[in-house]
Amino acid sequence: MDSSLLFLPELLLVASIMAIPALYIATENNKSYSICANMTLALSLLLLVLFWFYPDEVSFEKNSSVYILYSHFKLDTFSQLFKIIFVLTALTVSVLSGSYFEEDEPHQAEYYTLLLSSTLGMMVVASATDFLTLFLGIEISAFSSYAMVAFRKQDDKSTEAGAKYLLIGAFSSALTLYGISLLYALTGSITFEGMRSFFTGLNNGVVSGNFDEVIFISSLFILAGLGFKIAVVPFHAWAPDVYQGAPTPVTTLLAAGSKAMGFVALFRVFLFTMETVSEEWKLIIGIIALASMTIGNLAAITQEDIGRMLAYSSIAQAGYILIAVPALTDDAVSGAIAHISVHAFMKGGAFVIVAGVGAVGLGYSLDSYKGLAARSQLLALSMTVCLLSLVGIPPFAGFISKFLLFYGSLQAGLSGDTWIIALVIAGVLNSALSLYYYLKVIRFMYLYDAVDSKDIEFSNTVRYISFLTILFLAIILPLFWQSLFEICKEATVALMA
Amino acid sequence: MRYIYSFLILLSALIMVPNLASAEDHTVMVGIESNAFVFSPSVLKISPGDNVTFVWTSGMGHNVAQVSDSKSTTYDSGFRSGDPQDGGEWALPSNLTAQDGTLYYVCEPHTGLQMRGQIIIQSTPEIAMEFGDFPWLSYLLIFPLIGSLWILGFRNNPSAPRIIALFTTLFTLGLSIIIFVKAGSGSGFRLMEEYVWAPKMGVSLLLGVDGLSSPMVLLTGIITPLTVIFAWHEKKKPALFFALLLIMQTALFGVFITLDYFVFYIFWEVVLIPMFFLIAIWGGDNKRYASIKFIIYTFTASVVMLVGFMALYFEAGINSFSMIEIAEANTSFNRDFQIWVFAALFIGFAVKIPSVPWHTWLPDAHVEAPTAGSILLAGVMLKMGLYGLMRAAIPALPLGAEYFVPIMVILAIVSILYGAALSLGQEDLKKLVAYSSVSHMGVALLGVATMTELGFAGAVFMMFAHGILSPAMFMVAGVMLHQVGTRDIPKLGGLASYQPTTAGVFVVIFLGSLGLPGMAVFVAELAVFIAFFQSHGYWLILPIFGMVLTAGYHLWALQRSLFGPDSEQIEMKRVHEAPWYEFYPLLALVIIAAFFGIFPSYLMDPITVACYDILAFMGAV
Repeated sequence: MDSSLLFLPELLLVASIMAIPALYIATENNKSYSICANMTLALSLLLLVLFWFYPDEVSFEKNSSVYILYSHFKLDTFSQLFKIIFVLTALTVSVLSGSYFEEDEPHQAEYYTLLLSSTLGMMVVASATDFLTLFLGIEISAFSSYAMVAFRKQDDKSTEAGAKYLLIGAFSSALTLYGISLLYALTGSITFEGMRSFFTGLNNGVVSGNFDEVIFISSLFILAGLGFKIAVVPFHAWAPDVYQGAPTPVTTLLAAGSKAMGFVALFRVFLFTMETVSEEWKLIIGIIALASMTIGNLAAITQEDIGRMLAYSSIAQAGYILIAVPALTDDAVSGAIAHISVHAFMKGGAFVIVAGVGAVGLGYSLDSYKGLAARSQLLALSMTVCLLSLVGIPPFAGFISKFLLFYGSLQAGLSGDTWIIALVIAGVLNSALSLYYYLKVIRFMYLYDAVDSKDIEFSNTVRYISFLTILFLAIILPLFWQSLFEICKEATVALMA
Repeated sequence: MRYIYSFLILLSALIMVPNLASAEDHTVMVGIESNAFVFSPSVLKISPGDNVTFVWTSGMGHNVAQVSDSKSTTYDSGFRSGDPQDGGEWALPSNLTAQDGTLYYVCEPHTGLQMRGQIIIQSTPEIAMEFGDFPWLSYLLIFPLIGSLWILGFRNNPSAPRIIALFTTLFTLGLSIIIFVKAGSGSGFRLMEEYVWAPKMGVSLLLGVDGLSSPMVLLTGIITPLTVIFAWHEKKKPALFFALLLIMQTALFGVFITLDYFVFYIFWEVVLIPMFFLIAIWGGDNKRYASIKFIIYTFTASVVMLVGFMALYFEAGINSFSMIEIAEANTSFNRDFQIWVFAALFIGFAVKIPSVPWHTWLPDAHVEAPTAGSILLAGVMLKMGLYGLMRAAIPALPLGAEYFVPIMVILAIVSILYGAALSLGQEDLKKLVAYSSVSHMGVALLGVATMTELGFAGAVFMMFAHGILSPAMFMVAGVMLHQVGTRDIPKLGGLASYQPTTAGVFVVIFLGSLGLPGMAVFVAELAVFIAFFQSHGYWLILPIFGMVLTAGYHLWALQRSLFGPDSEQIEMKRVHEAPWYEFYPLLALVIIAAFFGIFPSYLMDPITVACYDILAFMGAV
């Protein structure tokens, strides 16, 4: 048993990516693609969890970090935790797509292949040790998701969203690449470790020269690219349109998986590589965080489409998470990692219900949710749990993760940069503000009668997934949040070592 | 009873014997760089048994000699460091710091330059913590929760939910009475339990009751079964209704018995969710607006409070969210910190109390809530604010509380007068009662603002008394709405002749609420006003004037709706004696209010002990 076994999850995905087109040629059965994808993702998830978090069960000798593939891949708790989140998200999306799409939906083989390659890209990003691998992973994932967004070729909204996403995405990637190239020119190294030692040397005076402006400019460019991926102000304009236009399972992938991938990349770059030169980028990230929280929450209030509303809410949540980046302490970053993980479940859970409601023909406006509680208590309860969790009301999981995030950031602010305290207070007040629009959906579900009196049966898949969401967000996580926080702390140590 | 009380006071005084195990060393500089003729610090606060050393830093020839008070300049007896010297040090004999008291001293050659100082010796009282062997308090939390889950299994059965709810609430009533009796009037916390939840962060489910919380537990236990009985014929979604009532009861119990800041916040917020649904689903015409206003207003205030809690946790630095431990660490918080954090906590609590000008959510929420919701809201939920102030804010932040006393006094007086004045102008009976809640809680806030034992005790007694009589008044409004379909006072009139017994009970309730001697509210108001006179003198005229307004609106509402000529605008034939499920709860509340009005000591004893402890704790700073 050696370390290259740890690469097995990715290999499985690669194999499946090649298998599904083969299946397309071999059979006419549209269901086979989703079965193949589901099985691969499930197996991948199992391997990830077993090999990293329960190594004794499989008699595997685990070190705290492992380098494979000629040191292009680093496997540590940070990367494995996020890989689990990516694969779990992809599995949910895959299962959801199985029930969301009709039997005769065209191009399903392409869809599942793209889903798997998107996930593969995210996993590459999580493990990247240098900028080229990172960029490669981002691009693999991004191109797959561009195609997935525009997947429904006959639907105007879908293709428009896809075009927007592609153009803005490609442009942002170009900006990122420019920033990376500047850093490469400056430091002479493309790996994170190499650049980090250069910057540390810069700090100690071992390396002489004043490169502040170059570092500042390159971090701006990289921020522009990564900021697009996590959808923060002012790089957020694509999110509402794309979240609304794309087929809902794809939106789930974007909201839960792609966003987390953006944060993984951001954390690797800013919290590890450029940690020692934080003075250059701290303030700008703080400003972006504040702007995202405020603008995201304010814009969400007036939205009438559930997809757009949740998109703006994602923008705001990204703002909260960014508070931890200038804080730079272990506790703050652990809180951020906890919140990213829990947010994936909360947003994912919400979008699953959006998909369920949309699939039965009720539509995607907020009015579609009127009277949902009468139609399906389970779905309404699950949506309520997800939304209240997003606000941060106890006793749900979202409160705990938000609390950990604000706790860590406040501590950092009290002992370090005092302006972070202002960010925490803004975050807390913004959470109160967000209660309004989340509550709107809850009110519509419980207090209003349905717009039309159709008799609706929701798909079993959606109901099972929403039940699991309630179980996780309302019961499991609140009781066992200490264990989650321990894992996040371990991940932080692995990240910022 | 009196002997037990005084013995326990003596016992708690004995507990304050100096704790020699952790004697600290303190230094007083005789002369500093910038000014050679001062002692630094000139006022030193120490615990009994600590050591004090005087260190000379300037060469101007000083000595240290004890004098009798802060004005005197001649040494006649006591400690003296010897003849004036230029350097070196001198230790104060340790037997002098063994007792509480203040030692004044001067530098003899420089008394004319006012070179004097004082050492204040004060012991930190220990908080008694007694762990019980039977988990009474956990059962108090669990049973309503189990009841609510059980009810949800009977969603389609019209009568099962209310029966299950009644049994559960009667059971918890029994539990709360037992807990109240077991808590007794001792100093410190009883029946404590601790369940560690997140040891790395110091969060644990720490439960315990003392004289401050046991009346609140009793109150919640009393009010909820009466609510269930009053809502006996709820037709719309009864299972969800009673389940929400029981969840609220759990959360309310949780707020009152938890002694850990993190868990306190969780229960505080969890209270909001069932209340929101109760207003939004079973409420009146404007329920949508009222429910949103309620939840967003109170939630915003609570998150500010959360930031305050986190700041307390970090500053205490003991890696524990336990209220007891953080309160014991209050000497390490500097004054500015205390002021800021108290402001943050006060915002959260003031919205809940509710104190003018943050009271505007209350009339809407109360009027639009169903009667059962209003009962729980006015009876128990409003008490959370003052309880939190006394439990979570004041012991941990005494200097901050002291700084805010003038503001609290002003807010309290304004609440009393403004609430009463607004009540006087209301036509809707329920809104009148809602504003009267603002006024009464203003009296309680005034009691807290006096920072005296009697004031605190009066405030807590008012919390209990108002918690009994305000639900009764809401029930009256509910009865009227139920019978004649309107709560508008101008439209009512002459009801008494058609429902004499019920009207009689109504009259007793209203008289009790306005502060008639013999009912509980009078005892509370008396205590608060005496305390306020002791602390602020003739400013008392303002709140006392509020009592005139209070009497005004109560009697006026009573007279216009019950007495006088029969009303033209309602069908007088519909007026009848209230049915059993409305009458008996009213009667029960009247009896309880009268009982505690005539025998207040059953409540006052535990309350006063707890208030004394809180103040003794504050005095430690």
